[in-house]
Amino acid sequence: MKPSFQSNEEAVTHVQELFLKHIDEIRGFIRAFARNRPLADDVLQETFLTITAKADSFEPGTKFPQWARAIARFKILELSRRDTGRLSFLTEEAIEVLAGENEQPEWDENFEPLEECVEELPASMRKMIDLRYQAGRKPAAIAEQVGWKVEAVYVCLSRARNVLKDCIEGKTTKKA
Amino acid sequence: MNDDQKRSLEDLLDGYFGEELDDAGHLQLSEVLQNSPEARALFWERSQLESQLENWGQRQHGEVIAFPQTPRNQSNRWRPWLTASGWAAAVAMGIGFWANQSAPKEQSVAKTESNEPKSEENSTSTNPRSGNNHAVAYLSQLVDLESEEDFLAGQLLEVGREVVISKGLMELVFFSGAQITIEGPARFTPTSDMEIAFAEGGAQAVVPESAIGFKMVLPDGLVTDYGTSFDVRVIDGKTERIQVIEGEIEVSSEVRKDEARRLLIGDAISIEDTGSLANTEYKPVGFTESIEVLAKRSARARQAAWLEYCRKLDQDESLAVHLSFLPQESGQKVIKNHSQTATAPQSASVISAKWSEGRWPGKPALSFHRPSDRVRIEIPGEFPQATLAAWVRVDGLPRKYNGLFFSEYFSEGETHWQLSSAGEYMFGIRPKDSPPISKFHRAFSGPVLSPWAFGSWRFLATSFDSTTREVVHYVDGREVGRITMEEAIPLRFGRATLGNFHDPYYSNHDESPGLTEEWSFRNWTGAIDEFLLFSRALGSDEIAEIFEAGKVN
Repeated sequence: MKPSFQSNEEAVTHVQELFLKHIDEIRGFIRAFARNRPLADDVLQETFLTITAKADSFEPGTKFPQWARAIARFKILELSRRDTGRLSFLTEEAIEVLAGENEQPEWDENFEPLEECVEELPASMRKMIDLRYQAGRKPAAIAEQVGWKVEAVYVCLSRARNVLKDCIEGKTTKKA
Repeated sequence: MNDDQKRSLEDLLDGYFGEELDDAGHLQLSEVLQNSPEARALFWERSQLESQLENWGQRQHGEVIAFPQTPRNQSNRWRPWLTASGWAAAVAMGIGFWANQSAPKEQSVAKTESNEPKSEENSTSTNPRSGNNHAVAYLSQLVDLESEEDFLAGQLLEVGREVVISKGLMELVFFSGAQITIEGPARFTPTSDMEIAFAEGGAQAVVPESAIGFKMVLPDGLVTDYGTSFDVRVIDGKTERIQVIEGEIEVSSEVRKDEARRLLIGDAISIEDTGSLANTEYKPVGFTESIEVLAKRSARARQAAWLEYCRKLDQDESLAVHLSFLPQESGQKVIKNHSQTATAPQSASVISAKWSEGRWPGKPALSFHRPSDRVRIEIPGEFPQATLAAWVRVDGLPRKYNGLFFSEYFSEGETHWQLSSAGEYMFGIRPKDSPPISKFHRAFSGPVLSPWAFGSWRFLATSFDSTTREVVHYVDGREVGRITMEEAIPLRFGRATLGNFHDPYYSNHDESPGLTEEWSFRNWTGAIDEFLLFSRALGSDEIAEIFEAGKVN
């Protein structure tokens, strides 16, 4: 017998708690399709409002991230249809396929390996990562700042990400 | 996938994730992803890493709020965080702050007319409440508080935020679960969700299982709590007493850091100048009464004083509408206009907004967060002068337009009273003979509501005078904006809406360019527990008086 709620208020509280518990995963999903940050913000907020409005339709015990992602996907598709070319999206077909079930890998909640690996990066790579992900600069802006060609920035970031990927893999398999 | 294809895909992904891919590139990438499962796997691998790095970047900035974990010990103390408003506030905070923004600061000085939200980068701030630190605790209760600064029950406290109070009691709940009640005169600074630097005053700490190891740094020593409760008194930089009410703590002095002592229930010590921990007499209670009892008494007194004031206010000839939401009205679908001088309207209708708790226990409020939530009221007549005022709880400002009060749609003198997502007042009047979708005559303020105080009750008011064309905005009885409109006509409200915007032509607007959900959906997010409409422009003294009479504590 599936658990059910006494009141809508309880349902709302329940889904909102779940939303916050899985917020990194939901935000990560949205960011895959909405590369413009303010837009991604809006989609995340809209998704929160919709899950609240539809709290009664969520079946407790089922997978919340799946349900929330479906709602987020709907919002993203809506936006991509309405877009007049100011923002850039993948095609609708591509979004549909990518957003399909079993396409996304398991979301890893543990951020400690990444933190440690970033600390272990050589200084030049660390600087690139800081500029790109902490200061939030786009590669062209970074190129201007450090006096490199933008292709060189891309290469350095790519190498840094590979180093991080290997390092994280090393740390997680060690723990397993 | 061969090496060339892989390289080409990686270039496309670089451009896509770097936001530097052109339209042709997007089409190309889309096609590859649609047709190749291997490409999609690479896409998701890259996407996850990008997201994790972004989260890492934000943590470095201290902008990611440490959300409380779903508590295992669900005592009464956690309930404030489990309400929708608490979570909504947390979400509004956590997701509004990307790397290049900072928290809007509240302003108590009037700003000149502004049509566009001003960027926060322009304002320098000596306000210790900076947007770059992350919150670690919230103020759950205040009783008889006296301090140079204003504190609001429900507000968040961030790392490094020094608090000085001269009198009264303040209860802090840390995100780890630790609960500290502080008695003034006192001075302290939260340093993490598991630590507080306590410089002066009396404090009682209750540390549940989720916060074992909570530390209190004293001027001359350190206390580590292994559960459950202790109290402390520091006077003039010296720890006069630490005593264990329940459970176990560890104490060491600054001078003799290596000599830590474990104390158990009933133990009491003081820290001597030499650094030794001297046994002292255990005194049964730290504070005269528990803060909850005091808070309840204070709330009852405030509510009684407010009711008394309302009886007088409701006789004011210029009070057209007073929705007081008295206790007996809780749960009703129809609420009363308590103004004794107005002949109409007699009442207002509640549509889907839910009854919840208002400023004081027992005082009901209506909570709004769904697009359908609203109160409808029909207000006849023309208002050459007006004052709109409401006691509200802002749980978030997720909409572009967060609606407080709107006149009947597409009517002459149509008035909009709302807040922007940046916390600015947006007061507007429809120009004469304008088409349905029009730019209104505007009187906007700068940012006046900060997310740091989301979840607290505020008194919002705006006065309007069509002869002087002046609009004045207030928060908590203080002027925060004064604007002279370029044109002003008398206001009309008609079939008006509180807490939402009623657009009867929603489906027509789908065709209008630029009109999206964000134009049509303007529901308030939070609660409203009193609404007043006067037919004259009240002066700042009067507004301050109404605030004082109705303030929470």
